[in-house]
Amino acid sequence: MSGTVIVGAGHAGVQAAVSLRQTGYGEPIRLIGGEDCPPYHRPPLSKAMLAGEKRPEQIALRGPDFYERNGIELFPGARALALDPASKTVRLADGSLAYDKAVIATGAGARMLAGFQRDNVFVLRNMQDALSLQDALIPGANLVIVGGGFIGLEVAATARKLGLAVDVVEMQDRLLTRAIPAALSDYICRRHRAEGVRVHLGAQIERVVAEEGRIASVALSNGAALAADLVLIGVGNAPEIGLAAEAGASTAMGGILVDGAMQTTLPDVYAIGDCTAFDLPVTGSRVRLESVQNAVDQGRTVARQITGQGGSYDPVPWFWSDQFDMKLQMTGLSVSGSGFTVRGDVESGSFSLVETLGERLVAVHSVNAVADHMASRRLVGAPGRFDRSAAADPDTPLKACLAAPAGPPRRAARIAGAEP
Amino acid sequence: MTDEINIAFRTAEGETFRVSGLRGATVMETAIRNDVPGIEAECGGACACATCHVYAPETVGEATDPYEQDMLDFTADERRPNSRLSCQIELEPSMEGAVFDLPGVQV
Repeated sequence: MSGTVIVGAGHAGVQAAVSLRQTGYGEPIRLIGGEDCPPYHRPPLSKAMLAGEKRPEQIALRGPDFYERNGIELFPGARALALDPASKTVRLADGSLAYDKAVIATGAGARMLAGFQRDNVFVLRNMQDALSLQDALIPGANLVIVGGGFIGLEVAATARKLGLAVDVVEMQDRLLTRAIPAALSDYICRRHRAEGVRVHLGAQIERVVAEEGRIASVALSNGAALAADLVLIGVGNAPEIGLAAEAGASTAMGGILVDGAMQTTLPDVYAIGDCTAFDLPVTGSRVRLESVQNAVDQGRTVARQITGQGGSYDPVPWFWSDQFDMKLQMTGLSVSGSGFTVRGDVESGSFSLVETLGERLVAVHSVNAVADHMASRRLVGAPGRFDRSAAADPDTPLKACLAAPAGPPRRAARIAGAEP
Repeated sequence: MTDEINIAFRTAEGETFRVSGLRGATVMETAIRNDVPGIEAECGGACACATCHVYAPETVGEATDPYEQDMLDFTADERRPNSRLSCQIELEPSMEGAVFDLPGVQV
């Protein structure tokens, strides 16, 4: 038996390997890691690790001996150059690996903006990016961040804590347009401004002024000139789909198209994590999700598929972001046409926006409201009528706002077919 | 004086893992580094997932942080008075010899 070749040793790829062993898979597992360092948690790269509070080895996904001890052959620093579904092989620079099952977990790469490539311009996606950026975060320096998304705002918060002057330039008229409702964007913007971040909304970059290979300032179309000792580009990621697409796999929304079993359109080739696009049962929409939840749960699902235990991917998406003293936690995905109920006192800094469509709870966006968030992970997508007016009272537990019909709770179906 | 602190984890099946970690490292990181089974730690220590649940000995103390207390209401296994999220416990010399019991399930 050739076993399983997993391409990509991020959170999804490692979870697939771990879950395969936990579910009793006895065949070889080969894990192709594109980076030189052992697999690690990505979220701290913009927060605790960037701030110097955690060292790289403290954010490792597993201990240094884990892989060998569990019969997982790790190929650090190796790149998969091609996948041939006919001969069932993955080609590396120095040879080929045969597979019975291949799992593509290649993730996504940070987008760079044309015209910005200079010595003092950074992106933040992997360990090397974080170490380079960390070296450049010198107290007193001027940091210009292009893009008011999660990466930009998390770095803004970390950089302010370290004593840098920070500008955030966002093209849209509010922050976090893709993931967050307007009311919460406005709150987050106010908090950043209160912490001294200069947030420029609806801002167009007119030109960058470069001197000696470095960007010296960024000129906005409203006339503002932002002095820059360094620039971070935080304008999203592009899924790494080359390997799958060149092998003939179908793609959608810029990702590798998979079904609920994580299967691509190629036989015995699966894909998981940030690189995938799929139909999400709880929303009935096709999505691409970049999150730890998605990586971990898809990794578990693919392991169950490979070991013949079945079960399809049917999660409630959740996500978190830490910025200054704000613990932001989101459950579900925002939809258009929905209504919002404020739960708790916004000015107290602890509240949730409860998002409903008719009598259906579709999402809960929480700021320093951990109990709401955790409860919502069992309630979004659950059957039953949700009483939004009851949810406005923070003393009424969220759970009590759902008139659930008899039946098992949603959580049991997180990976449908899995043991609760 | 050494900065290495010896602790142990006892699984729900009764198996004991004796490990050591550096002062200041979290109990979760120490478990992960030493391949102790039964700690998932999906979120990597952000206090966002409740999958590093342990039952802590008296020397460690109960949860005082409000976030951690709220998260503990949502652990997969039973919450007890000595339930803690191991990512929120930093090793200190007073914990020498502490034995943490692991729940049966984390997710």
